[in-house]
Amino acid sequence: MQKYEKLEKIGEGTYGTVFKAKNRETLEIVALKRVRLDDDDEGVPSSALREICLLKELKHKNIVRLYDVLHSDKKLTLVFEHCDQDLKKYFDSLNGEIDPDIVKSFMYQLLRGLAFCHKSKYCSFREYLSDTFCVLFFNNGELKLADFGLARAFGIPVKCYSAEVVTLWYRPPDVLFGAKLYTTSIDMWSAGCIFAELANAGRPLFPGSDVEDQLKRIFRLLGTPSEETWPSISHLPDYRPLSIYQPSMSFTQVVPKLNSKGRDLLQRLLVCNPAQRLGADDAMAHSYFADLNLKPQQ
Amino acid sequence: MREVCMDEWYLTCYAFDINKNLKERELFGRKIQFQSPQLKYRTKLLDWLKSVAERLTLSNVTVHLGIFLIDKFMDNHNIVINRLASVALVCLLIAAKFEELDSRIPKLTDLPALVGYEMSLAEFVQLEIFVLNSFNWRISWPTPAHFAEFYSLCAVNAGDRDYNCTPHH
Repeated sequence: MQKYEKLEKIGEGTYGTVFKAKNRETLEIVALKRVRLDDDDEGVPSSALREICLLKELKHKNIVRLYDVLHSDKKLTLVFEHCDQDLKKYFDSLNGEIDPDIVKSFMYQLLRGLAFCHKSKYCSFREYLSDTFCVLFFNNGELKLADFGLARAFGIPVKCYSAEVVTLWYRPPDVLFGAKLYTTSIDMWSAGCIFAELANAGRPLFPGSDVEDQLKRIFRLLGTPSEETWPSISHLPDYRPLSIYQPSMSFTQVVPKLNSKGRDLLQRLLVCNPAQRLGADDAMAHSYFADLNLKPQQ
Repeated sequence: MREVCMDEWYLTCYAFDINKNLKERELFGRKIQFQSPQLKYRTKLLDWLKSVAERLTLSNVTVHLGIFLIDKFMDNHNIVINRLASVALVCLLIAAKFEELDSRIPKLTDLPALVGYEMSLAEFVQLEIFVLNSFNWRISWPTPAHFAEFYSLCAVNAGDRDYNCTPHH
């Protein structure tokens, strides 16, 4: 631990305290997070081991780098790339206004990070983006995906996970209906929700209070799916017939500041049937990004 | 939160990209020199490790990764002979923690018995961290078992009811 000088506490994560620190040799600023190893019967918890090993392989500019893992008595300290702000703080600083070029740039970087993950078996999350969304960070206009399920790796019971209700907002209907199979399409739904939230400068798209309410909010915008639009929907473990909603709102009302190409992309991501959702590569190739400027004026 | 794993990656639309990625990683990662001073014990060690894995009903991908890790570790360390079994066991445990569903991972408490209590539980915990550190926590290497999952999709069709009993013509 002599290698790093603690500067300040930057957060009380679900998993413990996070410190901003400085590497004494290189003077580089990093973030230190602790994993306690208090359960002696298990050694390194499997979820922590998995996530650390995955993060070690994830070297991409849109994914937070894990530099180092330090071991000392009964704890592991993870040394991460330090980021200036998380998404919530960023939105708070906006006062409800966001430059459309920044929306485009952030969305593209989000998709680029996801595309990278989806192509690597070893980077596949056992959690989805929706569960980790609260940890999108920004560093000088660069977006970083972070903490793939690490919150859970720190041995915190799920019920204590304060963001759990929040992450409900980014879950697709298939997951809400109890789908068990991991598919990359889950992340694409979450990306769509984040896209709309970005475009609205921080107003969540589907802020449901529970699973039922979440589904209703989704179907009010997209219409209730049926066996015709989504074959085998009724086979999902937690499926139950819900009121039939005809779409009562238009995307123009939902994301008024997004241009028509952006709305088209959003509609291709927010598709109830996971098989019809756009993939990350295809989304990046969408015409919305034709005039992409990755470094717009902040 | 439910456990969702991607054990069936080869069924996703990214299967070809993932396979390409695995192949690249294999090129960079698999450089076992078989230069271990304890090489003559390898055969017996692996036979024993396989029998342990069978008893613990671990999957093929876990066994292959575990063996890859012990080979790599032996290559770079001079291991006291009566510690070989514990080191191999820790490699298998690490592989299981990475590849298996949580419910199928062997308990660390079961390990000392498997090597005749020559090591304590605390020593196993220490050894696990030591092995992980020696790999710099980079243990997620592809093995033939991973590729077999993908390629068997091309070789086996729905008519083959039992993979193991496919008649050879």
